[in-house]
Amino acid sequence: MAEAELLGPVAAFDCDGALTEAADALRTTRRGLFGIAAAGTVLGGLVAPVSALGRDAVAGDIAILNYALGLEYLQAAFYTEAERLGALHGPLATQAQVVGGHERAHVAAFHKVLGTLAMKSPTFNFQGVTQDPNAFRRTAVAFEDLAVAAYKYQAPHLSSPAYLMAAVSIHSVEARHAAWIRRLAGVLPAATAFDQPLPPTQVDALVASTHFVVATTQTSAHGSPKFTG
Amino acid sequence: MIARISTRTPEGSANILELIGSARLEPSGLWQRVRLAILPNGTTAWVPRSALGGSVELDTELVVDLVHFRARLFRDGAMVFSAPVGVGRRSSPTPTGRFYVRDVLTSYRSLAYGPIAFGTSARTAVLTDWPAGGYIGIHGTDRPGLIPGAISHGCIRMRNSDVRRLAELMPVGTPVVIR
Repeated sequence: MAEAELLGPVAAFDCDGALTEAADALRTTRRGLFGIAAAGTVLGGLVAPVSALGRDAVAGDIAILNYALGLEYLQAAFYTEAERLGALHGPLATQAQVVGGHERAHVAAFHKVLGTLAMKSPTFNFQGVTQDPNAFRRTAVAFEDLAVAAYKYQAPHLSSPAYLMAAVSIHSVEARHAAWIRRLAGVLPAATAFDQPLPPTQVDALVASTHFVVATTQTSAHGSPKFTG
Repeated sequence: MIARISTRTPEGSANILELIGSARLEPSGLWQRVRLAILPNGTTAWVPRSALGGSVELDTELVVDLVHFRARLFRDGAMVFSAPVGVGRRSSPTPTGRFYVRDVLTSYRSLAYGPIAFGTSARTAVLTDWPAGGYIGIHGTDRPGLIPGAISHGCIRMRNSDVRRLAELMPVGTPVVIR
């Protein structure tokens, strides 16, 4: 499949041309937005894991689960903010409410499995997209298509059959989400006979191009506490 | 105008705010209602969304029970942590209400605060001349034998092993209910 086709759904919110730049840069090495966070968390968390992961859980599976958690954080934050702002009405509002609930459930499920190995949520700024129904609709189509393609790529790399089953169960729900929002956007719910997987480098690049993920806020310090004690 | 909001806490970390509402006002755009870390406790205000940075959704909530001297952390409604605590004496009570965790301090040299100290948006209403304004912390201790009980200047103390465990589970920004 041509790159332009892969990027098609996401290009809808490429209002400042950043996505085009990202697509061009896909041919070069880039930093993985979620990949870096996932790897860092895994290395740090392995010191004293407290999770539901079995003894045989391998680092690769943990990294993939954290990678999926990163995508779920993004989606959950997107829908939750849209629901909270109340700018959506009718079927679109229903979609945001229902899908948001699913995405939050996915986050909770990953937290339950990963325990203290779970990566922390990135910080988001959706820059007004969640308060504009048209922008929300376009972005939701892009996010759901992206999630379907990302899960499709990652699932076969899981070594644990249990995690594979869990990933597949989420993947099919994301596909239903994609069909739902595509229909609301007037786009064919199933445009092709076969879906293509999307590797993390491309997923990360597309997410980065939106600028929705902003620099992590520095909320820790090392000075002496001045609290009342 | 109620107050100017600093971009930094007294500890030097970024000053985060809890978002508790929103409204779209033309032509100025989106405004967010936020909880402020000022006295009187519980003060809220509206700020332009454009003046704020990124946001994060959290599913955690810390509930501190002053009557039974216990802190419980909930994630997505399920309790994931429970520990006995020391709270404010009668002369310096721990304030009640809804607050949030503002920051976390580590690697400092103060045995009295244990290994980890969380800063909250709550402030003592009686020790207002305390350095930095008398913010209520959640931290460890070098006197674990006093826990549980009403033994502090308002802070919420817990055993060092408990605050370490809490730090693994509770992200900064977590809402705090003290009752």
